[in-house]
Amino acid sequence: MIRLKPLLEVRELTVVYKVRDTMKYAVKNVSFTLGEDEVLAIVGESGSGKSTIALSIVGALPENAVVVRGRILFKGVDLLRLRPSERRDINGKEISIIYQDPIAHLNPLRKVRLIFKDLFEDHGVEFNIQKVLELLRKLKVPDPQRVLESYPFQLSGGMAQRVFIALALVLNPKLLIADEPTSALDLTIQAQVVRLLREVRESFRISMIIITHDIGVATSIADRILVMCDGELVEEGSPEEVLLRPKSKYTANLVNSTKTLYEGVMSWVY
Amino acid sequence: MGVLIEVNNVRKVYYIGSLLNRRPVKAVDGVSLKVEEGRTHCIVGESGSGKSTLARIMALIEEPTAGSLNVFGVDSTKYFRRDLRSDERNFIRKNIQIVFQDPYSSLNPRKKVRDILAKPFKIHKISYNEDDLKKLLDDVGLEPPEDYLDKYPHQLSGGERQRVAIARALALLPKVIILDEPTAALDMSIKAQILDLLVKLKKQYNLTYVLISHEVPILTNICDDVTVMYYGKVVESGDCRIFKTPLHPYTIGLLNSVLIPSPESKTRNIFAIPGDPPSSTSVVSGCAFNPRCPLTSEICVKHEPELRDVGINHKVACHKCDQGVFERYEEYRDSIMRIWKEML
Repeated sequence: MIRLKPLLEVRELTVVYKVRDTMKYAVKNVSFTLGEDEVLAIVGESGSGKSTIALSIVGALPENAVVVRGRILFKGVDLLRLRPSERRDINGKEISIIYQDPIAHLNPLRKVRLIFKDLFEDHGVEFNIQKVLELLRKLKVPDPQRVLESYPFQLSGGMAQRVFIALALVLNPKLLIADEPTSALDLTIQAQVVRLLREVRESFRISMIIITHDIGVATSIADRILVMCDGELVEEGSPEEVLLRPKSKYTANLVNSTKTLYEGVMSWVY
Repeated sequence: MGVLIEVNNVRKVYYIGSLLNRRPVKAVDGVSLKVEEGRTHCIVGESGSGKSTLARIMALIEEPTAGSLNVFGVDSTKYFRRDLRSDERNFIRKNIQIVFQDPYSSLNPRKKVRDILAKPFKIHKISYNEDDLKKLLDDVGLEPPEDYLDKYPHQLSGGERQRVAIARALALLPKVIILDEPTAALDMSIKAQILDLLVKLKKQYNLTYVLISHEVPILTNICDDVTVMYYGKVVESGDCRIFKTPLHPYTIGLLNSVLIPSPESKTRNIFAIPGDPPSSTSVVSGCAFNPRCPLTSEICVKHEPELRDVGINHKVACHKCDQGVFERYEEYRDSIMRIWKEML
């Protein structure tokens, strides 16, 4: 295997949430690296701390969360030690995040064109509509001119998802984080989003972290899978290793219950 | 085996928008189906297909705009007009119970588990004691029961809450339990546990289930009969063999959209039906699936297909399917998938 140059290094990350007078550990001493152009999936059930990791990387932790220990090195710079202004420069430009519900995260009062314009201006980059159009075309948005003049609520679910991904990609970030991009979506839309993320990985030089609770999604796209349980990293390996030779008991159980549920499906998918 | 619930050409129209700009939303548009005793009848569809509205109608929570139901031999129009004797009415109410999708909002946050489980008994003025409640918790696998009786819903995990919701539905030993996306909000391992529980309870108490879900892989484990819905209408129905030989292009596409966890999945092509489902207020002439269907021709745009028999216990609403299709099934299926894959 080629040793990939690390883009992101998470070292001994420990995050606690203050709930009234008690401290709850959300992430306990988690370390991992992400290489350039690598796609990593973090799999875990609700409360396992997987989203907390994503939020730590983009600096969007809720107020009651405290990073008690650890470093997050992005291109050698510790993201946790940055000032808010430096942080804002990186978010959206170097690191982008997408969520499962695109319409809820797009400003409902601005046309799509203006949302793009705001993003460029926030990062002090000259607004380049040609670049946006080209990107939308690359993401197979039909009639991108019309889409740019629409408000988010006028877009269909699939279109909004594409626009959202275009916003995340337009400033050529090095890292795209997808936080539960598919949960609670219908089967056919879920497949569309995973297809889209695969296309993104093929046509852009970008590293990705996919946060998901769905092993099916993880194995469909990731080079490497991390499994989290109760804030701890219990497994790390390729999809093959995780599915066929899980090291931890927790992963073995997770894989087994998924397999049982999918047993009926295996026979009729061609 | 008797038919417990018969749905006849039921429609439900909601209106949205302001007073001057009222637009109809046909949530359920002419659905007929039969729920037979002792079976698990699955209703499959995506968000907006009308499956949850249908569940609410079948639970008699919602009155259909047109059409009627026959529930345990009683006409539902009588039920909604309150033309029934109270014992008949209570019989129906007691024997259809529903479990909702979201166990976080379907349990009263201010009541203890004890009170939540006692409520059905109180409503129907049936005497009960603490042992009955414990037995219910025991049945749904919350052990030891005495630890759970005095807890509030917020002290329980998602899986535990769903178990409480199931226990509440089970309290009066109904004939039919309607399960509206019972596992959608749960983690994978919990889904498997809840499914096992449902199978166990069905055997133990001779229940009939109506299971509403969009999680195809999950319901293949439990289903006997299937009704596939798209945009308020039934596109395909039959027994669970239709998962082996789906005929409607939508069902074929849906089943192929499942992301299977396997070591090869990273290199496998991912299939997704091109296009988006129609929005709730849009009007599609002819077959609602025609804008996305690879087989669309003139007739599909002009005429709406009827749901008709194409095999033993297998109905399809598609102009392009007839009885002969089984003879060349693989060719038929592969041609649909081929056209789609080229479109992608």
